[in-house]
Amino acid sequence: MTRISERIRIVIVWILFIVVFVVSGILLNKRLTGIMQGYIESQVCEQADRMASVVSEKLYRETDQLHYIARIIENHGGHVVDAVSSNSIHRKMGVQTLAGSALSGEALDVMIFPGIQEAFRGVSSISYVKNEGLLFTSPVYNKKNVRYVIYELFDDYALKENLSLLSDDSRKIVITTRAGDIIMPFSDVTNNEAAYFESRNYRDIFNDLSQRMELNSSAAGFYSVAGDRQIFFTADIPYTPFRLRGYMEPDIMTAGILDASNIVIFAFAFLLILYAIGSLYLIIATEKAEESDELRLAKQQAEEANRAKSDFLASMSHEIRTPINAVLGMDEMIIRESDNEHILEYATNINNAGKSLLNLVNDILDFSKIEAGKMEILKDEYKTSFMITDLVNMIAVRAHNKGLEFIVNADPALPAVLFGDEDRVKQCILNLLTNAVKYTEKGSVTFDLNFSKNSDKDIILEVSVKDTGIGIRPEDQVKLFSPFERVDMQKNRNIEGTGLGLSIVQNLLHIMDSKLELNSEYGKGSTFSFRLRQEVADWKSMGNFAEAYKKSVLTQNKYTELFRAPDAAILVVDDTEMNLTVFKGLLKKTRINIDTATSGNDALKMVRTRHYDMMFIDHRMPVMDGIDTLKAMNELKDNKSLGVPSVAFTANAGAGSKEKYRSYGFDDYISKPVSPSELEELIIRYLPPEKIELVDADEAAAEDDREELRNEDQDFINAYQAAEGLSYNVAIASCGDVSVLKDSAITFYKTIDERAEEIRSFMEKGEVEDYTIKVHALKSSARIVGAVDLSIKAEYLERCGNEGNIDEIKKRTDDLLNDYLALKGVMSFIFADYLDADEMDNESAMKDLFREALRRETLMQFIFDVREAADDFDFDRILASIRLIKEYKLTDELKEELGRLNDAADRFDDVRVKEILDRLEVIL
Amino acid sequence: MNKGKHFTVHLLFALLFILISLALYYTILTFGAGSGSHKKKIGFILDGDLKDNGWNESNAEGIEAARDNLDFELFLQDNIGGSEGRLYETVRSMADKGCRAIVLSSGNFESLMEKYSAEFSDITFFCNASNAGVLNFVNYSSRMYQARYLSGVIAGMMTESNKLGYIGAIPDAEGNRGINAFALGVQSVNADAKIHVIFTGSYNDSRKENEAAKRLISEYGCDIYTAHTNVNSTMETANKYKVHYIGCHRPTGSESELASVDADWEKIYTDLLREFMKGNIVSESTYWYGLEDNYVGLGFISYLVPDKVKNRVDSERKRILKGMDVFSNMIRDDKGNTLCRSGEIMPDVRLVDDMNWYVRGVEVLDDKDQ
Repeated sequence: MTRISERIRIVIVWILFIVVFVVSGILLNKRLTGIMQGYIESQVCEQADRMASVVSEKLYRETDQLHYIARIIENHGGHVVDAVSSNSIHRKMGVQTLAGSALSGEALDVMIFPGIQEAFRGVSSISYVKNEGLLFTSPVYNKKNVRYVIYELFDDYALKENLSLLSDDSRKIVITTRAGDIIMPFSDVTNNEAAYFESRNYRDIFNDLSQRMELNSSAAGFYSVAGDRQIFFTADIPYTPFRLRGYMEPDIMTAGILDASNIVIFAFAFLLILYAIGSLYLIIATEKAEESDELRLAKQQAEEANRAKSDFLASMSHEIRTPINAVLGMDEMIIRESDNEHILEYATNINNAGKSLLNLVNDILDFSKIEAGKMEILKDEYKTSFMITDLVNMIAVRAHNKGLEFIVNADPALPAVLFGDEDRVKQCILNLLTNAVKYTEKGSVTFDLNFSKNSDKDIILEVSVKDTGIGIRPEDQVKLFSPFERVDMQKNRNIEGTGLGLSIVQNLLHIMDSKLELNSEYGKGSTFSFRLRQEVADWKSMGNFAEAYKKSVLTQNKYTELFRAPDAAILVVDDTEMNLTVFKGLLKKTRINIDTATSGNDALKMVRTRHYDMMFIDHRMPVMDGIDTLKAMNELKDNKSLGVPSVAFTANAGAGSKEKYRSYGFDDYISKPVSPSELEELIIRYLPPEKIELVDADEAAAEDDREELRNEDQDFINAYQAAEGLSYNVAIASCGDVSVLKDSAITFYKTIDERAEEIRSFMEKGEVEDYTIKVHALKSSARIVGAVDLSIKAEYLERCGNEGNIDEIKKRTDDLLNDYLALKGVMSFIFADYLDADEMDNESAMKDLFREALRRETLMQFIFDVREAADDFDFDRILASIRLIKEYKLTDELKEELGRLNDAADRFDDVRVKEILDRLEVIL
Repeated sequence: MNKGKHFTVHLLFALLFILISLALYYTILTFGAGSGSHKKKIGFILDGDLKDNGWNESNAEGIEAARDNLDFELFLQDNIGGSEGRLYETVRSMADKGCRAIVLSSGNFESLMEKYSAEFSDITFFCNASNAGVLNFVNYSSRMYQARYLSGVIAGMMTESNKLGYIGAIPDAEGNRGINAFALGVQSVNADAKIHVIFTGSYNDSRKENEAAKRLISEYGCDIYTAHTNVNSTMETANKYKVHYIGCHRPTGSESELASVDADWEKIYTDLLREFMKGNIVSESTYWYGLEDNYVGLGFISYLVPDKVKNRVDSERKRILKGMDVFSNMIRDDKGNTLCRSGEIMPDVRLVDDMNWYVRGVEVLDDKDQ
């Protein structure tokens, strides 16, 4: 649209210019012609003036003759006068007195011939009298006075005979009086032509010329007479009252001059064409430049849009990942806790589907990261066999489930430890393998991993994934690598995936200076391969990975602790003892030796005394935070644990956390509250593999003495659930199992006084930073033991601390500490109580309590929601909430209240709704 | 933002486009049109005040009318008086303004300017009532004497005392020509009449003029007198003494005025300058404007003048037009010399160069004050 209007605009401007040029050309031509005519006219004028001078001279020659005779008469007296006469009737001559009588010849009437009088005034003159002729006069003096006048009068005939002038043929000239009477035509002018001069047309023309003459002695102009264009001219004959009049063919004058005009016109036209071509070229060039400008702009906009899309995708994926993780986490709980075959099957399905979904989201996240240019290659040492094992673990089952043969040919000579971005390499290969499995219906998927030595430092890893699948048409092979494209849609529509896989592989490989190669025959199968340079950290052969593989495949399906590592030692650093307790509890069954430190300084002392296989360090600690601690450790000379894997605890995990902590020197991070499975995975990943004993699932199950556990701890659980201000569910979710919770709660309980005193003293001293760290610690430890309200209050005060809002801190800290200290009484009761509660029917009690807790929590949420909805006058939402809550098992009293609530909501009576809510709260 | 910027750029281009187009148009239209289109500039210098209701005003009106007829640019300066410095400055300034011709309307200017002719060699000077012989100086003269001759006929016929008065300004060729022409007019009808002349020494001295008038009337018994001054200043005196008066330049409307000796300066300047514009002017020569075509004449004749007198005036006018001009046939001066014989005529050149005589019957009186 704009393109077209732009063109139209350009064309209009161009046409406008051309029009202006043409118009100015026409004007120029007109003007030029005018100037040329003016020039010609002035030339003609000059010629006319010259001719007039010639005529004047010729006439005055006659006067001179008379003058001469006059002198003779003066000198010789009157007797000579008789000699002055003429014998021609056409040419009269005579001498006349002042009185008007003729001394000789014929007397002329002074009134008719003013020339006589002029002579008496002492001036020789020439004058013309119509029908009489041309009169020449000259004074004859007697001393000082004029006595006679001598004259000569030529009639028309005599003029022709004696005074006629010849011009060239091209001009027709006559001599006239000022009034326009013809005195004498030039000799070559015929009578007919002379008559023209007397015609009305010609008189008009000459009158016009005469007016133009007002300021000059001559004038000329172009006039058309009877269709003939002629140059007319006129000039005063000097010292006479006569004029010259004439006309001529313009050709004589204009021949050369108008050629010049033509040349100018031609040159102008030529320039115009040049201009047209030039400007056209410029316009096209400009348009192209604008086009490329626009393209650049469009590209920029597209890139921006794309970046926005990528950002959106990234954040969306991130957002989606969180609930999926929650789902998977909850599912994991179900798997762990349920023995029911059906439930386990469902939960496993949920798990599989969730993981697929997570993979998809991860794909998108990766892709958007690549697009946004945020994908970084983070190199680190990795064990080749582990990478292969992981890959095989992930693919083997799928291949097996699909009835495919999965062949792994890994060169045992591969260096044991490589240096590169293991995750990315793994991701590439995994994608290829996943694809191969996805698109192969029968036959096999072959994973070849070979290498060639590149130099002393590095190798070229040769990866190839071959399948016997459907193959790819040559024309589709191009599309293959573009994002979101999926080839052969018809055939593959039941195959899940984003279509991003190969694109991600392609991009990742590109970032790592490699590229994906494809060799495919449609219908027979495809081979994807790439060659990737990897630095070598350890040239030792990796050997057969199969053993490790065998071990790892055992960890399937049902959750159980994955490993034991009784030889491994871990250091955990956290200023909150609670966290340390939880941590230890979570890893209790792994039999790992765990040392703890409550500050960076303690940790520094400890690493000098003992070698740890791994360290967990809290980021946020007073005095010396986790990052400083790690830094100090790395600078420590006698550090026995130098360079061991370190993982950061963080309460503020977010996008890029891993990269962030890596940049601080950590190998990884884990967010608080710590998830048991994550923790275990981390430890497996980072602990030296020789120290890890993978536990057989059955063996683990045998050890999983759930019943015993329950019996042992049920009293505690019951007491906990009954305790005011503590949420068992929250606590157990944080701690993983009862024994951990028990340890945590005891630790929490024991440290209440000390911590409360610290918080109070920091508040009183106004040491906001330390105060904030303490309430931050309280926030997480309170949550671990299920003290939700306390945790929320602590969180609020932590925020105040971060904002430096001292007033608010001072106002609220007492309240916090009261709650905190109140827990001391509650908890002491728990510990006392559960010891005495052996007789209780644990299972049924637990179930009841579970339901009770569920109802209570849900109801609280329900009341909150309904109150909010009532504030918004959103009665539909209230009714929907009531429907949901009715699905729970409810007491009669509650059912009754809910019925009233429903009625009130139906009547849109918000006041009544709130009344009922208040009552419900009392019931709770 | 972007849009605004674009708009500004477009506007600038449009303005540039229009400017260039206009420039182009103007250039084309004016190119080569320089010659001949400018008005000629002509200066005109007056001796006295252009609103003097006399000589200066009639000249000023004449040149302004000529300017309108011929369409030239006029630079008019009056009140120069006899100051050479002021005259020179005025001429200089007019020359600087591009005047191609300057009319020196007062007879005394020519002699003051003659020495600067070389400095202003490219300017044509038109000198009134002069006899300049310098290359770029052109003389022009009205034949006012012809009108004075006719007024003399009236005076000669209407006097009862046979004593006629003449108040002259300066006894130069022009002044004397007027006196002689008046005297010849008087004598053509009244051989006995005497003409008493008093020169005031100035064209602009009303006090002296009035004194002269009183003397002519009371001392010499003149019952009709005339004057050749810039302004008709003596009507009161004429009225007071109940004598008749013949004025000049323009009629006064006074009861005692019998006639007015006038020149049609519009006609004179138009014809003179038209010739100049055509390039027909011959320098050093004198352009005369007389009774023919009424360049001069009696612009006013009172009802007091009887038809008989008027008829005589008319026949004298015709005689002049026929060639018998004022200074022809027998003329004797007051010393008895014959200046012109019967059948002869004084050529124009004598009227300018040879006028230091008075016709017999003219008595020039000594100025009492001098």
